[in-house]
Amino acid sequence: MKPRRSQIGLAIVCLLFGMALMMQLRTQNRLRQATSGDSSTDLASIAGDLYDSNTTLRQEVDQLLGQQVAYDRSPGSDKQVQVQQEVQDLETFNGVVPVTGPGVELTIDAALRPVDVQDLLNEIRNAGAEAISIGGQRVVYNTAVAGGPGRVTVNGVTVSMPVVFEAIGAPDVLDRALDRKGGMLSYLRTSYPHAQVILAEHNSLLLPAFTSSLPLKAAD
Amino acid sequence: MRLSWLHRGSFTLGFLTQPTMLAAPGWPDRRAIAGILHRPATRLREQEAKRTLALTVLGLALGVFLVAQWQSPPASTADDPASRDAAIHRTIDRLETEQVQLKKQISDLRAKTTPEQQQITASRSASADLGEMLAEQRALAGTVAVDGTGVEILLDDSTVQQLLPSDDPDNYIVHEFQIRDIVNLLWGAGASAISVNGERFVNSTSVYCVGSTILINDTRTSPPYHILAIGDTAGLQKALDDGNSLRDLKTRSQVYGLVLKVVQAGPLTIPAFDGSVEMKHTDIAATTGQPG
Repeated sequence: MKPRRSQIGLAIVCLLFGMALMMQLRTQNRLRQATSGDSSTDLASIAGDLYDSNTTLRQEVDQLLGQQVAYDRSPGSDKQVQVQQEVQDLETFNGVVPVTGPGVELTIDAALRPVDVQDLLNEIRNAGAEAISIGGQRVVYNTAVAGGPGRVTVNGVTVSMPVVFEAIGAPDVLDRALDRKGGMLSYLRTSYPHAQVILAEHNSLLLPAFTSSLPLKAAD
Repeated sequence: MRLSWLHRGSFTLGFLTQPTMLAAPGWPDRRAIAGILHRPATRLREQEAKRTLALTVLGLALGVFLVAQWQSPPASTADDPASRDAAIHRTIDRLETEQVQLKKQISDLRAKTTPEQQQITASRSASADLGEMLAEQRALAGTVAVDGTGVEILLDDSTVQQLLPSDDPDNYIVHEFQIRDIVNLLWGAGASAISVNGERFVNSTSVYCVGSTILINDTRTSPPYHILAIGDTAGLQKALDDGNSLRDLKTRSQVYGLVLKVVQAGPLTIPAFDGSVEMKHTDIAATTGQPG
């Protein structure tokens, strides 16, 4: 017996429905994969970062607790010294005073684009640098990178070639983080095959204070 | 993983569209249908109705089969790697809870020491501008929340419902460099404070991604991204509107439906940075110091 037209129609509708359903599922799965498809390695890396970050936060808590105790116990004049110390610590963090310490110096002789410098700065910050300068310009919280290929500006000042990054922090940690496989440096070596990239550890670097015709003004 | 998925998809599709499955000549006779329906084959007068019902049931079964087919890959990986992932997820959750607690502790401790410090700097023996200096450096460091006027930008994954097989899903989601580009543009346009999803941008802030997770200040974040910037509203808006700025991002927004818009301009509060500002390797250089 032959099926009726309506039955074939129904079958086709069912088939189309099934296909539409599949398309929908496929889309959602692909998007889900793109947004949350972290591999075990990625997850382990995230956990490692969080662990390190918590260690640093715990040290900050300890430091603040110590400060608290010191304020409570010290005589008046010592308390002032402590406030002065905190002001100096913050000045160091903020980049408004010249600083010294061990670290790395990264020299790149290539016509870098502003995004390259911006991404490198991000990488250096992420590696745990405590103070950074680019082409002699001290990096502060609102440092912007602009310009064009081969004539990048940092803090509004044109950076001369080759571009020199100086970063204070644990030299071996910075070195390892910057030179890691698949990192920014390996990317730059690939994108600028003729570029000279030199990464060197230093026992003592001297970074200038932030200077600008516009004073660094905090939001208030 | 993704390749095998697509392969599996095309297999399913091919199987379904094979003509013999649904075309009349090869269609199983009513015994088979009756078998499906568990009804005796003698009730011939209900043939038509049964066949219609059978087709519907079969259609539904196919639908269920399809769903099962498409949901099976995640389920089939529920062996070692998945349980290991589950363990790491639990670790991440635990560390994240701890991170939230530590940040809260830092925030509370900073708030607690402030009045004490004010008392110290207000005392008669203190130098006149010590309190002012401390407030200024704290504001620069971002360890205090700040009120002001500015803009709020929304950056989110694309809202498109359907991707073509040729589409790259990467084009439809927010990437960490896009956040960096927006923040860099806002600093350049004179913003004085910025936060993204509650994370204040300070001198040590980095935005990076591991897999598909974006971390800001070592804190996991996810879309939608609310970028808050205090500054001259008109100036910030002008920089964002400039045809030469954020070109890649604007193109993706137009072509792939990535969400990028200023959702608010007006009064804003930008939260404090609750992370560490401790310096372990850096000392203030003597003003007469020479490079070592």
